[in-house]
Amino acid sequence: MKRDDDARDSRRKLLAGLAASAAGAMVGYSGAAVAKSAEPAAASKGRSRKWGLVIDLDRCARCGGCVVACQQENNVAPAGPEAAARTRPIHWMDFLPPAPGSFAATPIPCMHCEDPPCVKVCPVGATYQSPDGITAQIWERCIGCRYCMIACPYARRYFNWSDPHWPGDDPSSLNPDVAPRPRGVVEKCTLCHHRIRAASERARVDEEPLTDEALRRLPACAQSCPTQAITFGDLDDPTSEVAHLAASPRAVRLLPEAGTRPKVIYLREGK
Amino acid sequence: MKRAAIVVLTALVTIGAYAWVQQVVHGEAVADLRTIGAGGAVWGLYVVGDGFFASAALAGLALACVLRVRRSRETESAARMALPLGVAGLVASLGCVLADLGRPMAAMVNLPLFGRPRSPFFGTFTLVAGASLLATVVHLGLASRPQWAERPQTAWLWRSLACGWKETASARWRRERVDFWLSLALLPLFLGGIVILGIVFGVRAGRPGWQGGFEVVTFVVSGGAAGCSLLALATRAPTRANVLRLLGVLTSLTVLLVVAGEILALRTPYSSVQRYARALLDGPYRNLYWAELVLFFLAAIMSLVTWRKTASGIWSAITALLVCAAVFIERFLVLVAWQTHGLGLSWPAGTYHPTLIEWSVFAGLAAAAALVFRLLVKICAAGTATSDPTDPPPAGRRLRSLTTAACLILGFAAASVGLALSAGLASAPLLDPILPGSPLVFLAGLFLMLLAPVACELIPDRDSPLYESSGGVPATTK
Repeated sequence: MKRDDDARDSRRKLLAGLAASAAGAMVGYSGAAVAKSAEPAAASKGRSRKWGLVIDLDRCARCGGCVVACQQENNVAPAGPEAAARTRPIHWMDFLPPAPGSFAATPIPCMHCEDPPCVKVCPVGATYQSPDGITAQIWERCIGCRYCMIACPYARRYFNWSDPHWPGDDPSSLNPDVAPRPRGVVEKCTLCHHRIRAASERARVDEEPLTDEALRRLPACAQSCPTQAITFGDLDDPTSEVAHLAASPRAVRLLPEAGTRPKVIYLREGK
Repeated sequence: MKRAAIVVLTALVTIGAYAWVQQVVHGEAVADLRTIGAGGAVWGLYVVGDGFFASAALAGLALACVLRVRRSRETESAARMALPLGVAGLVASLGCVLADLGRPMAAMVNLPLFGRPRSPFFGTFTLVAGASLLATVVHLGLASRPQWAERPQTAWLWRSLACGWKETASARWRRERVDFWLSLALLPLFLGGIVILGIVFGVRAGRPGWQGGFEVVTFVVSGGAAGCSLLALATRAPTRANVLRLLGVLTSLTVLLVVAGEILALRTPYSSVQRYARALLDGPYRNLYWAELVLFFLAAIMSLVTWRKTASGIWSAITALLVCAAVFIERFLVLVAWQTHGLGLSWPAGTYHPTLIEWSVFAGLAAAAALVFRLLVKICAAGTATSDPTDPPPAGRRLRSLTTAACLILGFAAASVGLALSAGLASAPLLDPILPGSPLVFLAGLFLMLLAPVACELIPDRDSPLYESSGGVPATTK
């Protein structure tokens, strides 16, 4: 009888030990996941950034320079005559046609929403929101279901319907910092995050802060704009120009009823 | 006649396979799908097919579950046919989804590794199509064992599939109980599946300006009509009348919902929804829209008239085909017209005309589904089990009860843990699964739960003093 009780006790201890180990492992995993997710934010000098763009429609000359610069910078393959005729060109930065009673033609990149619907619907986590608020895409993971294209209220995502080709198929003309995307995946504007990363690295090596002046014209679209209509920066930094412009009474967001809280803000014309 | 039909279906499958290979080689540029906002639709015929097949299959399966729980002799034929029909429909639905994916091979790897339950894709693909298909196959297999056991004993395949079925009172009793409980347990899965599909296709999460809640209800009701129409095609005379009666009600309801939805959409304050409604009423989709309404209306009248005239075969078939065509058009309009005409910003209106490749792939999948159905009907007779009510329940066996309970509990636990890990419930939102591959744990849990009825049926009785192995007559009364 005593032996039975001992055996039961030891079995109970073993089970309790196993349960404790399992619980510990679970907590460890979740803790690791949280720590991993918080890592980049913590690395950026203890304060998370909220990158955003302000586009001044009064200044915009509708020259299309931003569209071309974006194509060049991000290795977006030009659509051939056939694809263009079938409305399959890829333009991370495009022009929204004018609507009666609304804006004139409007430069429209990805809105990098604070509450992005495209991220919610991705079945494999190929679309995610980085800690600094950029809605990014992992091309290699995308399965090409195009749920994100359906969910985006701004239609700012593009599917690669066929293999990308460049004139002359000369790889030396491509930007080595950006990987070309294969057929069958969705792609989108990244706010030139490779440039942001390079600027952050430079500032870290030089042991100098990343200033607002260095950021304002950082993305290719902002850099190429001849009228400086596009301004980039940290919306969470009250001293930044982009935050100052975003607080302007002229500032509007597209489709506010969608509840996505875009981080691309427009300054209306004529007010 | 039957042989000619099989030859035609096989030819269609071959053409569809060739078309799909062309799509894989040249990319989805061979389809008429285009960039949304730039004058096109990114989801087309394949997703319409997914919505049609999945909703029809799930509605048919839900109806079958109800009929199997009720165990009415009058509806035996419908309960028997619905399971093969469900398997065939879900196979076609899965095929449609795979045909639509830009990188189907990457999906095979990335979905088990990184699948996110927060995505509607998880609901529509993993749960609706995958889990429902697996559950239906298990249901069909278990229900067909008595028939497989009757096949010639020399056929090893049938012997293996029958898994040692012996026509005893105890086996019949277990068959009946498992059939009842499995049907009851699967009913919420099928009903939930069709509602999830309705929400995804009707409400479109993330969009400003819903098309109106009516679309979800219309999707579910018209899915029920499609399922009933396919059942009416597959069942025989006495049962068919009951199915047609239900079909008449569902079709009439769908007509009302479609009209009410359109009126609401026209009066909504959202300009995008009004544009969509105008495109249906007097825009580029007017022919399809009015054809849909006329087809539904005709089908509603015919199903009610046909039912009164003791449900003749030809009229029933015509009615069923009308309903299927109308539901297909309804899915097309909800999905495509909204993409080309219902965008929130001032993007230009677009067009979508499926190419020959798309039609070939779609026809190939539909033909494959018909062949699967034909094959399953030939080899599986998933009749409802009935035991003699005077039979006492068999003597319990502890091993069977323990195994069944263990499968259920462990399966539920694994599915819950897998779901929680996949959803990243313990971490910051919208990240990867906490443990890569945890969607597989979830699926393994579902599979384990589905093993519970299998264990309950397959673990044989210990030699009981109450039962002889043959005939099942209690030994004491012999």
